[in-house]
Amino acid sequence: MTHLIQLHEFDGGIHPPENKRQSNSRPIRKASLPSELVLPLHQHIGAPANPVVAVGDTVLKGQVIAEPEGFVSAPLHAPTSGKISAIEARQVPHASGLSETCIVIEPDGEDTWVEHQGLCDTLGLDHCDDIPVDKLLERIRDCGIAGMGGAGFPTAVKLNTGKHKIDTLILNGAECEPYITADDMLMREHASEVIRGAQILLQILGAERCLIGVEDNKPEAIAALDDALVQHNEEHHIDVVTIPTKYPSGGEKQLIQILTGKEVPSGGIPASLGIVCQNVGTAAAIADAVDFGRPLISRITTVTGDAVRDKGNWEVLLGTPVSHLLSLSGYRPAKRERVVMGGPMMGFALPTTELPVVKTTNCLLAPTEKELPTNNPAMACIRCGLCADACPADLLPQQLYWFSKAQEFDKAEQHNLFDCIECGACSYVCPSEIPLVQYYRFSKGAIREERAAAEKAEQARIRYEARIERQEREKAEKEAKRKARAEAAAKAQSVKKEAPAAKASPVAEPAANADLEKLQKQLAAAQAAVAKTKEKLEAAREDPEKADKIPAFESALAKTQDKIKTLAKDIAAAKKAAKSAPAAAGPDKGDPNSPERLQKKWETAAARLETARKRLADAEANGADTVDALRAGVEKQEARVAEAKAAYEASLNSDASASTGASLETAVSNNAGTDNTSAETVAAKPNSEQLQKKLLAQKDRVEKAKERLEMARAEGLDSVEALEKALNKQLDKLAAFEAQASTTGEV
Amino acid sequence: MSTIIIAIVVLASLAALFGALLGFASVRFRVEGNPVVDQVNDLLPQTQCGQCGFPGCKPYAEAIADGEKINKCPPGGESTIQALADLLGVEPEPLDAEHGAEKDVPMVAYIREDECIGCTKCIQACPVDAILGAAKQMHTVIVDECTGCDLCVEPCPVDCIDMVPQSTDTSSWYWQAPTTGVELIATDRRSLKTEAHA
Repeated sequence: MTHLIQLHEFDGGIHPPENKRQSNSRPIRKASLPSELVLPLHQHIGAPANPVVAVGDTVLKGQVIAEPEGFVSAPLHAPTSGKISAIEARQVPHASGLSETCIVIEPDGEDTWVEHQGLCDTLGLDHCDDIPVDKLLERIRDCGIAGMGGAGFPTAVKLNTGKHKIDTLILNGAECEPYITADDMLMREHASEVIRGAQILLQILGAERCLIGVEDNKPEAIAALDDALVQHNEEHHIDVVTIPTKYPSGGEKQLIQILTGKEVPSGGIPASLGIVCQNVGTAAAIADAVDFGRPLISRITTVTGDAVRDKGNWEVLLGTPVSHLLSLSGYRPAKRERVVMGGPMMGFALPTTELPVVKTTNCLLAPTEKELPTNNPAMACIRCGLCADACPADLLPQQLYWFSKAQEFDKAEQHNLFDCIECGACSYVCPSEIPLVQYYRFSKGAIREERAAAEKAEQARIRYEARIERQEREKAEKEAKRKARAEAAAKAQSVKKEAPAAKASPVAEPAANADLEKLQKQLAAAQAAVAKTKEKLEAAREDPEKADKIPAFESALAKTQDKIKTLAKDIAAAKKAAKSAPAAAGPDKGDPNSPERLQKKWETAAARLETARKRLADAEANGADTVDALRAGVEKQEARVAEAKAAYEASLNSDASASTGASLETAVSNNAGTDNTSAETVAAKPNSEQLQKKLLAQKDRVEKAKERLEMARAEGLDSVEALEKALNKQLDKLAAFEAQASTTGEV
Repeated sequence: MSTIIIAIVVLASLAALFGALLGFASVRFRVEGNPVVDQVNDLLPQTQCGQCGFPGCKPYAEAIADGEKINKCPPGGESTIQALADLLGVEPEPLDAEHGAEKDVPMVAYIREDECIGCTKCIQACPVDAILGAAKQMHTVIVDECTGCDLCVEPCPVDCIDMVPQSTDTSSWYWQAPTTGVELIATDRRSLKTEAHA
């Protein structure tokens, strides 16, 4: 230590039993390779990473397997060489116990590194002290480094302080939570890397000094850091500061207060005070990344608690299952097995031990029931005020408790709920054993959810208003178009009126023609239905499973054929009417419904369709914005072609249709005669009651569909066609049911 | 006598002055629209579901400003009623069951895509344009934009739209409040423990 640092104190805090001796008496061991590594894509705060490997790929140690998505995110690297065996949802170490996408690697045991080198060599610099800051930041981001103290905030983002001028870097080596010794052991064994990391961080931030805060219960770590300072000749910039042991002095805001006396404002960040705080583990990882090009693929994790025999610290690859680490440590599961990830104050119990170690896993605590008893049921708050004394953030835990319990979230927010660091000091001192922190977490979650809902509501409102506006605009446009058309029509009318030519019965012709067209359309539809039903019938005859449907098809067929007959008759009548009309109107026009003419019509329509399609293809290829309009045009054209074709065919068939219809009918009825018997024998006797129900339901549906169709027709919507299709389907089904019901009735 | 006249003149001129001032202010600082409507609209959940009997949240907000009951919004539920009651200074009433019940979990629409016939009926029904598709093309729901209003379910001619509960992931999950049992005092607990042992 070269400078005398005036220490300050934060209010509150507690002194729980430290329980650190169990795990810091032996050096860090390297954990063996497990049979598989499970790497969640979301090990940091921010957006989950995006996998860039596929199942079956072979990866090398240190290879990027997932890229960051967006600014606040971090990439993921393969912790060892091997094969990607799965990319799937697996349970992740999170208090919720939910599953998230993970990349699973099956190690090959070779542990072959991908090519990697220090940043200095990569850039080919002579002096490694003047690497540009943006290159350093890029390297830190590329190496997937996220805060290793517990929150896992992407380090490169945190170092990007923007407009804030930073004068002090604080390295957090306080490690105030009981049981955990990972940072302690790291500082003892990797002090040099920590100091090197501090140097790099100072360069990035342009800060003048660095304070490394270490609690006074880690004398070995302090000595090691002091030695490393001398080695690096950094005594003038970096100070190792011994601070008194008190929980939670390792909280970022608390450590800043202890070392500088400044309080981070509510809702603010330390950078606004000119301070950046990083964990010592993060500093060591940065040194590794910059000097050797090693990404964050392993970390030091404490395994402790009375349920494990071999307490100590492990250097463990990310993704190693907790169960593997526990078995290495001689874990004897107690009756009520409970493994806590993190410390006893802020950690959470794992739902199972088949979960991976992630970037923020600093400790696995497997306590016995005696060592860390499960909570007793909470008793009533006696308003003793101990929690307020213990709170390091100077909040009123009791008030927050009442508000959270009553779900008066706005009041809880007014009492600065979001300044709570969830350290658990209040719950620790509570004589009534009220799980206070859980109440605060609940309120925070509920408030965040409310905010998200409000945001979504705002978005919905904007979209709704935009939609209404659009609809009104479209309506206005339509109205304008209609007016324009009406005007044009009126003009044309007036022009016609001026021409003195008298027309004979101009009304009868279009009316008759329209009738005829309609009938012909219906005929075409009926014929199509016949063809379809026949096809189905054939299929049903070949497939014994569908045999029970045969009678239904037959009855449907018979019905449609009847329809065709009547239609044909109607058409013949209508034609006569139409013929007489145009003959009277304009003898030179000829019969507009003669097969030749219709054929021509059909052919021209088909040609037009062809050109329209070509244009659409061109537009699509060029990505022109007229695609939609063209597509609509093509659809219309298609409809026209179909119409023309139907009309043409109808005209050809009109004379013969009656007789063909009849012959078809006889043929089908012959078939029906043979099939009915087989169907009856083949079909299993269905439950008639069920059938009745189905029938009724189907009838309902048909009714509904019909209603909709009527409505659509009345309103002239363009979905009429789709609805007709749906109605036809429903009718088919109904017929099937009816036939089925009748056969069962007979049987 | 002159004092009375002076008093009357002074008072009259004061009255005229203030009247002019107020008249000017009412023209100069005129508020366009009804601010209460916007405040009410901000509290409504903006699902645009029409369960209240009005064609959207804004019309219901307008109706509330004109004295309509505040308990007709099932998606908002009790919390919205409470907020509206606080805003308008009226008594909160229980949710009117006639307009539907409050749902426990937020829902989103899901289209069974292989059954969709591409009729665009649901697209026309969606108040927030959260359904994507074209005529005779398969439609799908943009989950992030769906408000769970149910309005697309009814028009579907082939009934291929389901309302499914919104899924939670680790970022939307949060701790639930501790289950509060009977709260005991220390002496009660001892007796309970002995009971359990017995």
